Amino acid sequence: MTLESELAALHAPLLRFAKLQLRNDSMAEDVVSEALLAILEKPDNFEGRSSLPTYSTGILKFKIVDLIRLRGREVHIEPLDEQSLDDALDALFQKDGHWQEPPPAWQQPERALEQSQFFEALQVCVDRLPAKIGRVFMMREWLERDTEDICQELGITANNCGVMLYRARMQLRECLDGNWFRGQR
Amino acid sequence: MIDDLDCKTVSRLISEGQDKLLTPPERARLRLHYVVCQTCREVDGQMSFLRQAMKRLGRDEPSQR
Repeated sequence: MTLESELAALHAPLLRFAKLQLRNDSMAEDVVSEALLAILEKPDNFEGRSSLPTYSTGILKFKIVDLIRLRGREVHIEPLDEQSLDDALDALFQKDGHWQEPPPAWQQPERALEQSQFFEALQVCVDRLPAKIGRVFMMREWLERDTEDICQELGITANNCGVMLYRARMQLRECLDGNWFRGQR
Repeated sequence: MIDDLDCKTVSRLISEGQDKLLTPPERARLRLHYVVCQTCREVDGQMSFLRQAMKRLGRDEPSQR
């Protein structure tokens, strides 16, 4: 198979990732094209050291980070009203801080990582996050960037950033519980 | 030392611990809480799992399509 045809097969999933991160279709298409171009321009850099999906995703991540840096403060993220965040989280706990409904244990979560259906369920859960929270969370967990960098770049306080990440994690935990692990019990 | 953390505070600390190094007293208090609270211990594991899964979401998924 030629490099072109291998990349053609990766185009759709790469585009989906870019859209998720950037939340802007035309920007996502541009950044994926740039990533593909970078790979095609220097095919020697990819010498089968890793799989092509891994390699191309890595390049795409760098391109996305660059783009976000470039846009800088154009990417305007309004600080969330911490009161409404707290209210949503409060619902998970009793007044004394105990779990309203203790989260049940997950059966053999490591096995989920071997199943593509699990990643589809995870994707659905990530898509359900409120847009702003989803972006901060993706920058942190998917692009694996420092929290400090993220806050600075988006112009939000460290505390607000922490609350957003906390809420994202709690919501994803709940969502995965319902969408995947409950069905495994 | 008494277990003076409630589960809500613990869940927030678990999240904070994924973004920065907790202080030794914070870590000790968390571990003490885990001794008496299996649910929070479980949630701690689930949060670590979530992080692992998110890394693979970017890395592996295209190869499975």
